[in-house]
Amino acid sequence: MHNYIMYNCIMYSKELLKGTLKTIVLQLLTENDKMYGYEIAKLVKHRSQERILLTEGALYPTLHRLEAEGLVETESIEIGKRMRKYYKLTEPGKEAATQKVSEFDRFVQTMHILLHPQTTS
Amino acid sequence: MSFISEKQLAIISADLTDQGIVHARLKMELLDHLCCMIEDRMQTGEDFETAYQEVKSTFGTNGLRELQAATIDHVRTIKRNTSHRVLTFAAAAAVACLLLIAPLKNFFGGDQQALLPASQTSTLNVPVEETVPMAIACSETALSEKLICPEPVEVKAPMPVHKKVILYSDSESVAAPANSTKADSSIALASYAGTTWVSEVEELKHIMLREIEATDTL
Repeated sequence: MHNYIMYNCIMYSKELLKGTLKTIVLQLLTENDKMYGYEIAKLVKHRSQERILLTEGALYPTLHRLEAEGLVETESIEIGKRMRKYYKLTEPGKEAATQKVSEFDRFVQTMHILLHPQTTS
Repeated sequence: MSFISEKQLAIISADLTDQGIVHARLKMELLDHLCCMIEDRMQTGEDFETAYQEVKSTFGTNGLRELQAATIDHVRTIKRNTSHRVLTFAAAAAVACLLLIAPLKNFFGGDQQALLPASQTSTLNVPVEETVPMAIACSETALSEKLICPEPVEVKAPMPVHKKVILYSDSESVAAPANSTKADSSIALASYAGTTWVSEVEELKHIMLREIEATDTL
C-alpha cells in the first residue's frame, strides 16, 4: 500500500528517516516565514547536498497532517493563473518545532555515545 | 516568472482529474507543484511536452492517487484522534460532574428529612450512600464527645432534627462542601472518601460544635 510514499530519501533507509520529516519541515518553517511544498522539497534537497530527497508522497501528507494538528496555518496566493498554498507556523507550531529539534539533537548525541563509546568516554 | 501557459495549466489540471485527484485543496497544491517542476526543466531549455512527460514519469502510474490516499489517511487519523480526545474529555467531565453533584444531592436532597421542623419528632434515617463506605452518621452526642460512629446509624428523635444530624467521616481524606456548616443551623455535611477535594475536617468539626453549642444556649 502506498508504494510511492515508501521512500522519502534515496540516500538513507526509510526506517532511519521515519519520524524526522516532521522535524525537518517544522525547522524549515521556523527559519522562513512561510513556504510552499515545492520550495520545502527543493530546500531540503539543496541543504542536504542531495542526500535527502523528499518525495511529494511523503511531504504533502505530512504538511496536511501538521495543518490538521494546528501546528501550521495556510494561505493561498494567486501566482499567474494558478494558486499557491503557503504554510506558516502557528504559535503551537513554533513550540513544537523547538521541542522536536531539541529532542532530535539529544537523540543524535545519545546515539553517538551509544555507537562510539570509545570516542566519548 | 511563470513558463506555463493557461492552456498548459488546463492540460495538467485535466490530467490530475483523470488520475483521480478529487481532493480540491490537494489538487491545487499538486497543480502548482507539477508546474514548478516543469518550469525548472523548461528553464534548462526543455520544451513543455518533454518536461511534463519527465515529471509525470517520476510519479509512476498510481503515485498521485496514492499520495492523495495517504494525505486523506493522515488527516482522518488526526481528526479521529481529536474526536477520541474530545469524547474522553467529555466522559471525564461527565464523571467529574456526577462526583460533584452526588455530594450536593446528598447535601440538599438527601437531607430533606434533616430540614424537617424541629418540633417534629420521628425517626430520622440519615442518608448514607452505599458507594461511600467512609461516610458515617453521628448524632450530636457522638460529635460532642468527639466519637465517631463506626457504622451508618439511625438517629432517633426526639431532638431538633435541623441541628442534630451530621454526616461525617473519620477519614482525613474525605471531601466535604466547605460552606456546608454555615448554610443554616441544620448542619449536614456530606462526606465522601476517595475524592480529591479535601476539606479541613477538623476545622469543620469545631465549627459544627460551636454552632451546636450556640444553638443549645438559645
